[in-house]
Amino acid sequence: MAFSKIEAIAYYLPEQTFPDSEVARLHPEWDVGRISLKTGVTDRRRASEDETALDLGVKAAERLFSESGFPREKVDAVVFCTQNPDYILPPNSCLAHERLGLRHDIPAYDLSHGCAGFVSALSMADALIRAGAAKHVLVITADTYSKRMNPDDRTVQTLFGDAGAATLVSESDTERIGAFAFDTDGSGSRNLIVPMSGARKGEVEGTASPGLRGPADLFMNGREIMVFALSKVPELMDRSLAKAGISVDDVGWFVFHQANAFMLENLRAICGLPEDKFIVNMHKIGNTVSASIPIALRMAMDVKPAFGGKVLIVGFGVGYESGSAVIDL
Amino acid sequence: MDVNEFAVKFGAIVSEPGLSPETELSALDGWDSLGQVTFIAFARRQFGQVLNVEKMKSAKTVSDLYNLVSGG
Repeated sequence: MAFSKIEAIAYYLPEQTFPDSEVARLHPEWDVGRISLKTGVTDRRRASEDETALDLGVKAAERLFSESGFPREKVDAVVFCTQNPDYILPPNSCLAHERLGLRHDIPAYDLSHGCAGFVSALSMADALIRAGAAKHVLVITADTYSKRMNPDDRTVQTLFGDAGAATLVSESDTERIGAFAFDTDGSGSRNLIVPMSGARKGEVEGTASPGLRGPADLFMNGREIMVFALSKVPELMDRSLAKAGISVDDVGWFVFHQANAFMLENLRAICGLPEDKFIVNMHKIGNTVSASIPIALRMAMDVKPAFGGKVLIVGFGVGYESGSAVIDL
Repeated sequence: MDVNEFAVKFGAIVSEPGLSPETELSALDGWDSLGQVTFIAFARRQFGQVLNVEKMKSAKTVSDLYNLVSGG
């Protein structure tokens, strides 16, 4: 049986920034210093008016091909994970496939997930390779939550950043991606939602806030999301470690979804993980949703010479959906 | 985990460095409902303790919380 591995990662950040100084200029009534202290975010990227998640994802993939030298005609499947596709139909994966000039005899899958999206997409890529249906899978995770935010909603404006990431998953003789664990719980769906964004009409109870959010604006109940993450992430971590037959001490690095620095610090304390093995690097880019884990992996590869070996990844968020895995870089 | 190590870890939960066992909880901004939820998760994970919420809320100092989770 074939196994899989991460062959290459690249990411693309839109040029436009939204630093604390700009936030303070637009919203003098917000206590920006205190907010940054809590979230750990001092700058974010914003896609321009005519730039979408598709653009960010395609640019990340082009960067991956040019950096790695991997020939694009060898890609056997493409997965595009976003919650801000260009259209409800056609699928973003088909649009990206065309722009990237991939082979025609391959499948293209859209995946609508948020902060757990990278782990979900990775599990699809791994499954395709294990099943013998593909040798190289291009996974694109890109999002632009900024397009869904009300300009006056402090909690989301200061937290989220736009970004795209591309990850090439390839066949491997040894198991270098595995020990997946998932948790799906739709009972939390109302705590992170864009009401009136699809076919379902009508407002969603508890999400409206006249003057702050319209019915088509992103709503986040940060407190509930925090409670969800604190209870789920340690459990998922345990399940992945048990599946892999290893302990916390055998893991080289921990790369969790970069939700916000405060939550990450709490998760680290709860799980009892060492600070020097725990990656937090979203200060300048914010919470980049499904792109956050691959960006954190790549940033760590670029700046930490010792980064590599066994890495535990955990994604968690909208749905609720959460997933974890052990990868060997 | 002794009480001093506990104080450091508790400091991470309430975002306040430099706590001692004698620190009064009422002086900590981070000891709000969210901090308490986080602490409950921490106690369950690190000490295997399902905390009595009323007892937790009646704790006055960091050391009181330590006694609660360590059974001291």
